[in-house]
Amino acid sequence: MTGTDGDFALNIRWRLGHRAFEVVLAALIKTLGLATEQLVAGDYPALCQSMATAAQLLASATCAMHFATDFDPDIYRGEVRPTMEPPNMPPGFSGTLNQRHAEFLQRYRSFETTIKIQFGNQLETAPADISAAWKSVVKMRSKSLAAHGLVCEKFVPGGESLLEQHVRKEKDKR
Amino acid sequence: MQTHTQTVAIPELAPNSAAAPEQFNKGRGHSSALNCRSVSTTAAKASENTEPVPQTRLAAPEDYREYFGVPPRTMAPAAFNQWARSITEAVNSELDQAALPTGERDLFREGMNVALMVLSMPGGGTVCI
Repeated sequence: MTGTDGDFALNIRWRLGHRAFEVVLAALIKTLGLATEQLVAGDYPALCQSMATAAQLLASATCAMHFATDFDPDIYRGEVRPTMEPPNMPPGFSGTLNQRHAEFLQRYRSFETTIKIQFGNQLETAPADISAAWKSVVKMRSKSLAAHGLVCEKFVPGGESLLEQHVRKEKDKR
Repeated sequence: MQTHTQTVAIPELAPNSAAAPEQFNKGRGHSSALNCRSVSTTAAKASENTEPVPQTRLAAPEDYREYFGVPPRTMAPAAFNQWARSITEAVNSELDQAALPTGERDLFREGMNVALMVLSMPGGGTVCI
C-alpha cells in the first residue's frame, strides 16, 4: 500500500485510477462493438482477436481498480469518502453515474446475447477457438467483478455505498 | 500525517479539446490543474470547499465526470485519445511506486497500451495483441 496522505490518495490513486478505468472502458466499448459486427458478418478470425483484446482490457480494468484503491482504508473512510458526500457533493454519489460504464454494460450484454443466439447458451455449436475466446472474456469479467467486491469490502467492510446510505436516509425520513 | 511529495503530472483536459468545453470550465470550485471539482481531503474535512454544492438534487452523471475529471461521451475522438494518452503516461510514471498484486504492473501497462491502440483505430479494424 503506498497511499500515505489524503491528497495523494485522492488525486494520485483514487482519481487517476478512475481516469485510467475510463480509458479502458472506452476501448472496451469500441472493441465489443467491433466484435458484434464481426460476429454478425461471420468474420470469425477477427472475432477471436477482438475477444482476446476484450479479455485483456477487462484484466486491465481490474488492475485499474487495484491501482485506484492502493491506499489505506482508514484514509478512504476518513478523507476520501467525505469528498463524495454532502456538502461536497449532492447526495447519492455513486459509480452508477459513470455513463461510459453504463454504455460498456449495454455493449457487453448485447454482445453476449448475440453470441448466444448464434451459438447456443453454452456456445455448444461454436467453433472451439470462438468458444475458448468467449470463456476467456467471461473469466476476466468475473475476476473484475470479484475484485470490485473485494475493494468495496476493503474500504467499507460490510458497509453501505453512498447511494444505499442516501436511499436508507430518505426512507427513514418518511 | 506523512507528507507525500507529489511528482506525477496529472494531465488536464485541454480546455478547447472537449465537444462542450464549457462543461469543464464552469462549476463549483473548479480546479484547472485537475480538471475536476476542487476538493482536497483537508478541505473536505474542514467543510471549507469553495462554493456550496446544491443539496436539493441527487448526484448526477456530470457530478461524477467533474469529480473524477473524465470527459463526456460527446468529446471528439481525437481529443479523447489525446487525453487517454496523457492519462496512460501519468499512470506509467506512478506504476512502479504502486503496491499492486504480482504481475499486475506489466499487465496494466500492456493493457493501457492496447487501449490506446484500439482507440486510435479509425472506426473498424482488428487489433493484434
